[in-house]
Amino acid sequence: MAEILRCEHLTKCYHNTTALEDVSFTLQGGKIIGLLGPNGSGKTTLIKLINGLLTPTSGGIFVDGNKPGAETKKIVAYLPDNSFLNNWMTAKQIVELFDDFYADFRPELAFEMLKNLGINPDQKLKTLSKGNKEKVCLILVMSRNAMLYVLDEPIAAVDPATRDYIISTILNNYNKDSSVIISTHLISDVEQILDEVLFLKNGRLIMQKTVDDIREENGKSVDALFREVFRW
Amino acid sequence: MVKKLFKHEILSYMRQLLPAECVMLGIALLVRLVQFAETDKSWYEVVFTSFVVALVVAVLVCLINVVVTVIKRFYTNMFTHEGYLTLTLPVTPFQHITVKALIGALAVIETLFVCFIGLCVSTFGEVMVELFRAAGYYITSFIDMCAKLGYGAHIAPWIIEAVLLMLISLVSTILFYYLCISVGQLSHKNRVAASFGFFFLVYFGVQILYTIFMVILAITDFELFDDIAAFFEDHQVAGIHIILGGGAALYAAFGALFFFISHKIINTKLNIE
Repeated sequence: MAEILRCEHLTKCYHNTTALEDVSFTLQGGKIIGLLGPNGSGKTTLIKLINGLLTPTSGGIFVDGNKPGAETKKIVAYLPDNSFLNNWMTAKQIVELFDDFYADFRPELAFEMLKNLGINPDQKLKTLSKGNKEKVCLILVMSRNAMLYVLDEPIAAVDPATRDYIISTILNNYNKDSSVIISTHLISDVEQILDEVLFLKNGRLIMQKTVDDIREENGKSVDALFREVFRW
Repeated sequence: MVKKLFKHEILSYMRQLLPAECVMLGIALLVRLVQFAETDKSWYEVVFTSFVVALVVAVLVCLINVVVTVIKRFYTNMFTHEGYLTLTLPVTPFQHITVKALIGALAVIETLFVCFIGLCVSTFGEVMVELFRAAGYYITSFIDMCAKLGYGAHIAPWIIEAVLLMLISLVSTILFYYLCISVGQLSHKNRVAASFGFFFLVYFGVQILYTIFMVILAITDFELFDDIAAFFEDHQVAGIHIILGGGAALYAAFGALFFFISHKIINTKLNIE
């Protein structure tokens, strides 16, 4: 599989704080990658850099060989860690918006998933519960046939049943040739679907390994290794 | 992609502007309807005045609403949680700023037009005919005066230059607001306050610099202003072309500068938190 994401000595500073420091790695296509680390480790910063919502202080980031921009946004499907929807819109309007802008968007799949959830497409988003709003966000992202899915904390702050729904939605709908980056600290819930993990600690990349290697070399599950590495 | 941006931007503006404009037109209609019940009784005066005051307030609300919407559409759409969607669309910052500035200018023109319609509705009938007649009289008088002075051939270019000046100054002003908002985003905290701070700094800074510049000119060359006045007296046609065309060019230059800096900030200094 071809390279989908490359970071070269990536550093991001906010004022006096260094959120990411000299991070370098390469990700190949066709994998589900866990971006793991405790709160404040730089996961969201890295994800925002991938999506062009932040600009690096130094170093470079390349999605399919290009710097984040209009071209990379055509192939990256991004789920932020908070709701990005305009509350005044209806579910149908936001689906139409995605359909207008993303050539890889599958509106029929989005409407089918909305129907399965019992969400009326003509319902205004502000009338939906927080959980349903998050599900709509996920449906929009997973209805794209993207090359890279970047999901920031998709299972944080949801009940276990919703967590299962989210994970199955990701697994059933992502393009199998593409890559999925899932940022989370709820490792046990996603461990079984991960191919590879990146461990971030205090803005530094401290480990990049396949899940199989972790199990063989460390004789541990990813969750157990995470607890060991990030023990206080 | 730009067509789609236009479409969604127009839809968003309509959502913000149409309710206030419909209310204003409704009040304008009431002002007209109440005139059919005109009597000498005192209650009529009270009702009529109340409706006229309501219409004036509604027009002001429409005008303020469009300015607020122009600012809000840029700020909330680009730099708040909506930015997570806006800025991850496969659209360049250049396209975003261009579309927002043009639709913002169109929205201002549309609002002014709707306010004019409101005026027509509230005065529909003899009063409106009188108003149009008066406007027609002043326009033809101006054209006749120009023709008598031998400036007839310049009326069309003057009108084109004046329209251009208005349109360019409108877009440039909107781009100045965008610049202030973009510069505010460079601040570590209190970004909205920083935007307002920058706005007032530039606005009053330019006034102060302009005054200082004029004082220095006046001190260094006592006859400069007399020479300028004499030039405009001797070259009236060219003088108006210079004022209108030069003004348009100056606004265009400033607009381009505001656009360039805003684009640079969004392209290279973006920090959506």
